[in-house]
Amino acid sequence: MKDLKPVNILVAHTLEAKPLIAYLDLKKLQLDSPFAHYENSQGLHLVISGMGKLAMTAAVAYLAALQSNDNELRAWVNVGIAGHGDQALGTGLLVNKITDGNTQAALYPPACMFRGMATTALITVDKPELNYPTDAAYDMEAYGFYHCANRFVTAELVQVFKIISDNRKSSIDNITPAAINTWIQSNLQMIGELIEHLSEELKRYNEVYAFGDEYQQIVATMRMSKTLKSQFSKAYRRYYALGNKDLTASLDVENISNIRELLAKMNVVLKPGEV
Amino acid sequence: MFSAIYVESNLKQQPRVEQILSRFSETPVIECERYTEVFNKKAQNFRLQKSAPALIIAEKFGHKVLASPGGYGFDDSQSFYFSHMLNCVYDCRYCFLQGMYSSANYVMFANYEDFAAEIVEKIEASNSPTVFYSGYDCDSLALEPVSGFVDFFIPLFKRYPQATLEIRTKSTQIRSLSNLEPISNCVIAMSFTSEKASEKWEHKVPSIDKRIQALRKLQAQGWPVAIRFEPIINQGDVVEDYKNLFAKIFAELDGNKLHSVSTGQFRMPQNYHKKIVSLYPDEPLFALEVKNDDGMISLRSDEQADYLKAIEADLFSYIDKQRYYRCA
Repeated sequence: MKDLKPVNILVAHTLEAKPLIAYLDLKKLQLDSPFAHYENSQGLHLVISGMGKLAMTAAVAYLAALQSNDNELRAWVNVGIAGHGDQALGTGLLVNKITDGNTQAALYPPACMFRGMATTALITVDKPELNYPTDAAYDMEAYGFYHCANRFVTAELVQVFKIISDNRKSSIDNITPAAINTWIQSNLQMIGELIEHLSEELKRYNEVYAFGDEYQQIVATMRMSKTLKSQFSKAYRRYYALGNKDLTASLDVENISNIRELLAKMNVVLKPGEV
Repeated sequence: MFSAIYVESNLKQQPRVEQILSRFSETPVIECERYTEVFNKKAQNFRLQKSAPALIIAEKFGHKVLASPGGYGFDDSQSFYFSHMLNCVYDCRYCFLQGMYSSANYVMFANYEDFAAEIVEKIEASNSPTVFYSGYDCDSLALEPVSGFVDFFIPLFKRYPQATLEIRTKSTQIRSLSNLEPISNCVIAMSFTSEKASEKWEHKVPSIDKRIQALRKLQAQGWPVAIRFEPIINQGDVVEDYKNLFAKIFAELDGNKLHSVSTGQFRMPQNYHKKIVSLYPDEPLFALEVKNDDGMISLRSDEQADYLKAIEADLFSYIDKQRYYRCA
């Protein structure tokens, strides 16, 4: 796979995780953690939540809390099996609408990330759905996943990928560990493409929105109130947006003792101008 | 063309909607109860969505035709605006829509008949001429092959010659207009900025030459056409830039046959500007110093009065002053 930017992958069950762990070369972290937690050398994380909406919500919150001091945002993907009345076993589908089976509230993963992949509506239920009453897939986690992950990152960078494990012709009683392994294996390429695409979007996103090392260093070095930090952040963005180079060298930042002095110097550069 | 089409459940059987869906059989169709479930939700990113927008087909409830903001328009007639769509297929960096919505998806309100009823109500309630502006929250023509806006609304205005419709656009989708008999109370108002500004900020917009050719055809056919030069943004040689643009446009169009010509500055409500600055922290245009007049943001410039005067002086060598107004 290409150089991947940090993506968080959430799965409900160890059987769903196994093929992904091998494919993404993930290693289990030795943490005092309520969840099995894996990471690879490129910074991809995989957490196994356990079954159900609440367990998934807790797992997302756990991972987000662990990463809360990171400078860059991450994309989130839920991968797992789901039932569907008509879709063939093993079919991989991106989810375009997630409905909470209890409240009927709906969430819509933005379509700008679909890129021609086959999609389905999905209903998250508390117990396995055996009758498939609508033309939607059924799972037990996605609503909790999406609802929670979207609190930490913009909706476009949260996606759900489901693989059909049961349908009207083959009930959940026929699901076996070997079958799950086969279905996930056969969709690894699509999952990989989704992760790569999210990773590319994430890279572009962080390049625009995340503050780099220079900013972090100045903020860490100079004491500043919340108000002054906000002023500095805006001035810092404007400084580079207007085409200026290397703030530290240009304004001799290392010899400036406080943030007010730095802001005054920056404001001289940021005078009205043309574009 | 669209990454997906969202449709409000109660509209799926509407003939206008069925026709649109039949054109895009390969595009995922996703049902929703109300368009607001998808559009303009918090924690969405306009910039990311702009890479592959979806179409949302919805029904517009409540007021559909609203009084125009002060200073909007070409005369003192009672004026209104309406938006059969929200958002635009183009990606003009200076556009206020980026700050107005957190979603870049296009919303199309399919209940044209309800818009028409409200327009007629306003016309009939007025004792004087009325003007209706379309294209405030969208580009009126850019999605014409999908929306069928022209085919529906031009015949409506044909029945009410005392009311004028201004269609604001940067689109060259004029086939529907060309197929109709021109009416004197429908003005096609094309927006332009200088070549330099267009190249820098008007992404996905048809070239200036193509827009001029579209206007030329419409003018030759007998449609009233107008030109909107906005936003004028100082890029150093702004007077020279507009001199060149005017020369290009008026070599093709008869200035004395234009319905009206206007100029306008870069300006938008403070809250929209704040949102856009966050959305495009790397954009030089939004890093410039601004001034805030009662919540309305514009670029701070000491030379503005001088360059506007010079631009207007040049413009008046092509058009009669009576046809000109400066957009407030």
